[in-house]
Amino acid sequence: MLRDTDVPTMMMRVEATLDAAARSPHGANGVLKVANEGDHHLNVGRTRQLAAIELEFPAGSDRAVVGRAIALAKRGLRRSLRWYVTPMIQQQTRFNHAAVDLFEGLRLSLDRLSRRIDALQQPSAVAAADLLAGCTTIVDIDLDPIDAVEGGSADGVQIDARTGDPHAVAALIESAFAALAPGGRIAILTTTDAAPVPPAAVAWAAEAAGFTQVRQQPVAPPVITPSPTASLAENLDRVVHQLSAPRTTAVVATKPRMLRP
Amino acid sequence: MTTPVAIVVVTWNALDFTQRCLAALRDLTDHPAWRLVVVDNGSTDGTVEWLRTADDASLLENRENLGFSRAVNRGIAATDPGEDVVLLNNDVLVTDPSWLSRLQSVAHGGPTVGVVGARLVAPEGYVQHVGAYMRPISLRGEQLAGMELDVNQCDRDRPVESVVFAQVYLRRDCLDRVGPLDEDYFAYFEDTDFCLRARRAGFDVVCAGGPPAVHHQSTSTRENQLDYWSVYNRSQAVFRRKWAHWLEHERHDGEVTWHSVLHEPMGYAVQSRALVTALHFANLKVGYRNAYGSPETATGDPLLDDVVHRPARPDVPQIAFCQADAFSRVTGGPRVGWTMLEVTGLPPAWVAGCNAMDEVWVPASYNVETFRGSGVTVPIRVMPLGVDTGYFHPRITGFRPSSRYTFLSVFEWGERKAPGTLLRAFAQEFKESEDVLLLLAVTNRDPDVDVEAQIAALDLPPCPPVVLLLNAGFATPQMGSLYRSADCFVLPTRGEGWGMPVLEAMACGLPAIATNWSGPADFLHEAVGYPLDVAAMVPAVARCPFYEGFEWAEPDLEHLRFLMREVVDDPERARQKGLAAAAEVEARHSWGHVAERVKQRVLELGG
Repeated sequence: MLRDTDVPTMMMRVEATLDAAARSPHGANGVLKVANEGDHHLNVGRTRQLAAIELEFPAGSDRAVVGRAIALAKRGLRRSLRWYVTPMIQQQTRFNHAAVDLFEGLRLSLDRLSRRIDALQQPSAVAAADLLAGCTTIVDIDLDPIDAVEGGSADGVQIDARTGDPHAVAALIESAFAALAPGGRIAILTTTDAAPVPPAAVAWAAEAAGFTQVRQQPVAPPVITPSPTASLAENLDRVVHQLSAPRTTAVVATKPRMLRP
Repeated sequence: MTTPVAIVVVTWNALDFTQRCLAALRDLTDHPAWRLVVVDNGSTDGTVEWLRTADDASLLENRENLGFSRAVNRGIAATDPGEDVVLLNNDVLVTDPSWLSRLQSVAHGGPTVGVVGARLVAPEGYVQHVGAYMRPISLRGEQLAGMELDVNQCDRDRPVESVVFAQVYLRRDCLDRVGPLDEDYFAYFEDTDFCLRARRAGFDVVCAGGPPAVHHQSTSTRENQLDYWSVYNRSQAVFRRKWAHWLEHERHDGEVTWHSVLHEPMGYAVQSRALVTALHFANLKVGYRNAYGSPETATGDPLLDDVVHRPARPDVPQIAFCQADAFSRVTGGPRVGWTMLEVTGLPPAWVAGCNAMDEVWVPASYNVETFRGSGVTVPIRVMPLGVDTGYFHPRITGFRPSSRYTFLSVFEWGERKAPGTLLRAFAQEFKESEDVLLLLAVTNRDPDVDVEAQIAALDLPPCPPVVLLLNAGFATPQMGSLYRSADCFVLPTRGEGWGMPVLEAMACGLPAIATNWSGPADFLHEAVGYPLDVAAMVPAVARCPFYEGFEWAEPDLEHLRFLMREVVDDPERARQKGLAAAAEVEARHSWGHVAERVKQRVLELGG
């Protein structure tokens, strides 16, 4: 039995394929084939091939002498029962297809949910001030190593790592690790206008220094709203500044309470 | 001026359906002058008691179930002579406040409109009814678009053979002339009977578009555990007695024998199905014979599966809609060969086939020249093909897979469609970073052809996404949805007999880019699309013996790049061209237009 494809279902598959490709290292470009049903995890297409029950089989027999008579009898018996069997086979086939339709619908829903979860797991931008929310003793440093803090007394360290020198950043991270109390947190800000050490490298350096729960967090630029009392030119400057503000990513990590031996 | 309307509802148990039906009526209907007449057919589930409490309804009580027709007639008899009548099943839920005003405006929109049905959907969201017809031989009523996914197909007011009376508007002058429902029908067939009588009395039957009502079909039968088949069969016997002879022998204006294919997966079969259907509804009696002498398997289309059983008469005009080398099988009265070939000439067998006919029709004007140049000497007439404007129009629901500007191409993979030219033009014109997408809905039935390998062999430069949908097998009634899911249609074809996908895309309101040669050149011009320049006429090299020694058009790749860039850079202009294309297709190229042209010629030929 041939099955027609619904356009909305197929377009959902196209959307999913484009989305998956966009998340891949190669991105959504070049030729992308969309499977008519299923994917490499759940091969619904294979199940579909089994859904239609065959009613007609060749009747034969390998008996030497009576084979022809047996084949004839089989053929006759099958034909005589066709009126009885056919509706049941058709009903079962309809059910099979309905079940496979359901599998495919569930697969597509699962796929959509996975993509939704992925999107939700992308951290949303937060204000820089909120990176160390909950910390009471916060040390804010620039490029100088921390020497004014008694070792292990701070519960938050914020570093504005405006440098492209990985050694300087690694030194700052080690210094912060020493300054923090167990359970304390570090936020290392890397801003695009300063050609910083890439956030991924900073995260690696934090892990190497002994920090745990390392994550990258986009930082929202400060909001500059137009003022009703300012001139049009000033307000335009504010809007342009807002739109062109450098983007900052913070690497946030925690000093473990139990230090590794 | 607003005509007052009496809404007649027949009930037979199923109280909860009645309550919901009347509640929706009262809450929604914005018509200023309507009243309710309820006829109860012996309900025992509390329906009568509940209806007695309704002070806005005139209640007529039957002590037993008199059948649908008699109950309706009793309700109509209780209406005023100045009122139009609406029949509404108690399992219908109106969903739109203007439903009654809309039906009335259609009913009074022309002097000959007598019966106006409505678009109905099932609770599951599928289309249930956009009009109906009677199968001419097996005499079973069929609902147009029944059980199709609702993509807004047939959304406009359309003349139809009949409508179901689950929701119908009857104009008073029509009722007065046609009379009440025939009470020989206990239930079923009475609506078709009335519609046919109205048509014979000179009234038009129309199915109105607009937001549909929801119909829980066969509620009375189901709720009352009625023996459906015994009622249906009795009514069918009555209908057969009254109408079988008229439907098969008297209704038609002419007759033709159609030699073609209906079921094979080829262009002729797709168009043949549409043509036979359109000719039937244009009141031309169609007998059928397979053009190649093959046994005809069921198409799944109830009308066509009836028509194939009709004997083919040899003494009426014979139209062979197929390849010309099969024309020689046609015998009998005036013979017409309707065919096409997408290259610059015809092979000898085709020329002989054409010259064996009394006249030859071609869909596109370029074939007049190519046929004549190859030695066809009989008269050649241009008879364009068409498109179903109920299923291909700009209001069809699309399902966009992306916010990117989306090009769509629909074709069977092969040299003639120049897929390499399309892919190269797209990949060369657009950079990876650009927000565009090319959607290829491709069919490939040749097991020796590996489409993906052929695309890989093109070694395309990095480009935006090209999504390949291979043998997706889209449901035919949803093809309009596929077009509406894109922004622009593109087909740099080397030759088309007619160019159906181009016309379908245009009907859907898409700007179309297609080669300015062969079939599309007859309907694609600058005002409604983007004709693509021909670089040169080149030998037609393909796996098709009919093309040997002839040429076709090589599309200009640079111009294709230019046009694709143009629609991306100025999408609003492209959109306007698409809308102009849709208007032009609707005005000139519907299957109804084609059927009228064919019918006129068949009658001239003595059909």
